[in-house]
Amino acid sequence: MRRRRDGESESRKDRSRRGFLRSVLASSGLLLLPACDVRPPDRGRPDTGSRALSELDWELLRAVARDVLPTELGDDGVEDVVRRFRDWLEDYQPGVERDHGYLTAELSHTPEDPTSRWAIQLEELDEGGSTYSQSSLTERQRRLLAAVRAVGTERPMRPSSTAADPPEPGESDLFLSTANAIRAPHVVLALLAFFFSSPQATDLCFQAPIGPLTCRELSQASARPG
Amino acid sequence: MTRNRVVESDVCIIGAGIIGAMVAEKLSDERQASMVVVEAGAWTTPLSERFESRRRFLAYGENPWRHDHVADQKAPGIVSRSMVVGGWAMHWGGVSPRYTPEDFRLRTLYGAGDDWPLSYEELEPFYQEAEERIGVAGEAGPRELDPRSKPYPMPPLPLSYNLARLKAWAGRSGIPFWTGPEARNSVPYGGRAPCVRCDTCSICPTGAKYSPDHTFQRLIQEGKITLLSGTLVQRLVLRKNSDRVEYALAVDRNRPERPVELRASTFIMAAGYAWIPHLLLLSANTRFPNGLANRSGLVGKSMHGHRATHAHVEVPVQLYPGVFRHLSLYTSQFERPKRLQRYVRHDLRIAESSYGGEPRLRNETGEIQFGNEILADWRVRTKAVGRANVRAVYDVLPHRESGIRLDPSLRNAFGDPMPRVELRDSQESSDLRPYTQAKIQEVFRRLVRAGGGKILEIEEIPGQHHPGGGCRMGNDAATSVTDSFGRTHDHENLFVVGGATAVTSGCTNSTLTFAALALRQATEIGRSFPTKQVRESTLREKQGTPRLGLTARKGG
Repeated sequence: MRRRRDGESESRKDRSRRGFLRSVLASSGLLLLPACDVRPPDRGRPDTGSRALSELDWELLRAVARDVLPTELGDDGVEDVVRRFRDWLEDYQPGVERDHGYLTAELSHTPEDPTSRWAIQLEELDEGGSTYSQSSLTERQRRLLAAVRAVGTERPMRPSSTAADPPEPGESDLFLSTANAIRAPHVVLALLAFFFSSPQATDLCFQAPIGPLTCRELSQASARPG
Repeated sequence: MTRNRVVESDVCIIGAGIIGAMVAEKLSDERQASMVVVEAGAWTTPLSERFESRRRFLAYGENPWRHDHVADQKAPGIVSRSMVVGGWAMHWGGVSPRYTPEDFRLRTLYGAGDDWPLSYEELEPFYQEAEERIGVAGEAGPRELDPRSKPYPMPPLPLSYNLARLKAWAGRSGIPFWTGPEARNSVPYGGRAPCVRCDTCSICPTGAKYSPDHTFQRLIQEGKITLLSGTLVQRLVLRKNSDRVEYALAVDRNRPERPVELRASTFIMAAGYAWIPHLLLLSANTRFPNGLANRSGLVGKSMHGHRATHAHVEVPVQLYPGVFRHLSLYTSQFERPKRLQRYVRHDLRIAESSYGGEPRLRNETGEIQFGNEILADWRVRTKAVGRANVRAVYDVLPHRESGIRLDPSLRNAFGDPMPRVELRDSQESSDLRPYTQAKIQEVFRRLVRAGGGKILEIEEIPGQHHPGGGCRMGNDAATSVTDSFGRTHDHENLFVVGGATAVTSGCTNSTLTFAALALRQATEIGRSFPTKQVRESTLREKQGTPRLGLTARKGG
């Protein structure tokens, strides 16, 4: 029986799921080419000045990602999510006009760059001279929960919103689209929202190569995914 | 003193949305007339950049349509800020049902609302023409529910796996559903490639969904029209001692110091339900102190729209959400009642939904979860079930005062007052609302009783959708602004086309009906100009190989 990072045994079912994920990665290419691929574009980006991507402790974020993302992703999968999260954050531009919804005359803009705020939150996980990475699993979970609770996640779950009733920042909305992850009040929530709103997460949940938001021809439209 | 820039043409079309596109294309196909289309907004994201704008829309929620509104042209209460070449139909989803014959005879059949001054049968050929010009893929419903003279120009889009399962589920109720008509290519059509299921119809990156910029670009390339973008018409000016419009006075935002005079023999207002009445009211003069075309006092009045009620339903069918979601099942069964004790009509559509089936941070007991727990919780809630959105749209019968007024407290950069839009239910409609909702909920329950599952939530979307009116048509000049061909009763060379002339809102999405109305109106307008010897009809050109070279891009 193999041992997982947290010391618990890995079941046959877990291995089966991971095997499924690998097979999808290898065979379909869908997960490697998500609809929301966030590679930086060729065009030049304006220098946002305050942007400090290097402020984020990426090693620490990897450690957090290993604790908060599904273990079925495996080390490579987690690494891939963190890489895409970094690309996504790097390509972000604050103050850009957001899509204006139907039934509203109002306009809104993308919020301020969260990088610096998230960097501080990450540092705060290394509290009291005891680094996050060197702490026990129990201690790490305690710190993560405390950090997420501290930023306020008490808002009722709301699974949908309308243009006339626009969403406020909160954890339930964050999971609905990658675009919402940028509003996350904590870097841990941002990472979770980024992953769980991705096509990759849908495929993992349903254990089928659904590949939401991937453009493809009509010919197989009626086929059952997988 | 700077002299005005004068632009002369036979026809001046104000507004470059889908209605302007339909009218310009039809007139240029059939008549010898020079045409200027004037649009206050700019051109937006070109087709070649729409994959990238879609990517940023998905990643960050950025507006995929650059420059799609004019900052100081604001109207509180308006349903969309879009003011751009292509209009709202750059964003639209492409849902293209027809109204039913009953929509045009509400007062006669049900004693509710008003009759239109034309029948479904009179409009039917123009529905067909609109479907052909736009390019609609659809499946004809049962003849008694879906009367049409010809098949759709394109076969229906194929049902997704999920929608096929939902059709079987809904079919147990005995309600006939068929594939909803869509302005998206199921085969190459109009020089555009078939849909590749990107599932972001509000920003179609391939051009498979119809948008009016395709039409305008082609007409410009063929030398059939001149399109002046970024040019805001501020006033219509009458000829001295005449009720004829002599010119439209406009401002080019790139050269605001030099006014533009748009001179034409015929003026066609195609700027939508809010901005057409706005311009007519702004054009008030000593002879028409309440605004042009407004002897009836009805300009900007009797506006109407739909109200939508959704049931979020859990169905006992394993679905795989997230592929080809922008397609729905449709029925007009509840739009076509024979007799009614009390008036209630609505459409009915079913689509897949993720409502209540998304991953969540907190579990059932409110505890925060992380990766493995979120995934396990998500799997439990989606195993052996699926979610559907069942939506019914019903018509709000308009209050006479429902509409726009000029708001002197809100002005644009040129000092002109902006409109304020306030849609109101008539008393009749307010009284019917609880009954209508109860009847719709009965239908929702019927579906669930027959097919299984449960209703998770019923939600009425606030506001009114797909607004129209504001220059209602009619045979009596005292109770309407235009005749059924859009000619204003007060000005023989001034026409209003499209949804602004609609009498009531129907019970389903309106764009196709507004386009059909505009094509009928354009037929009448065209009679003033010589017939063109048509060498190659635009409609015949619609079929064929895509000339834009737009195909699915790997990883798009």
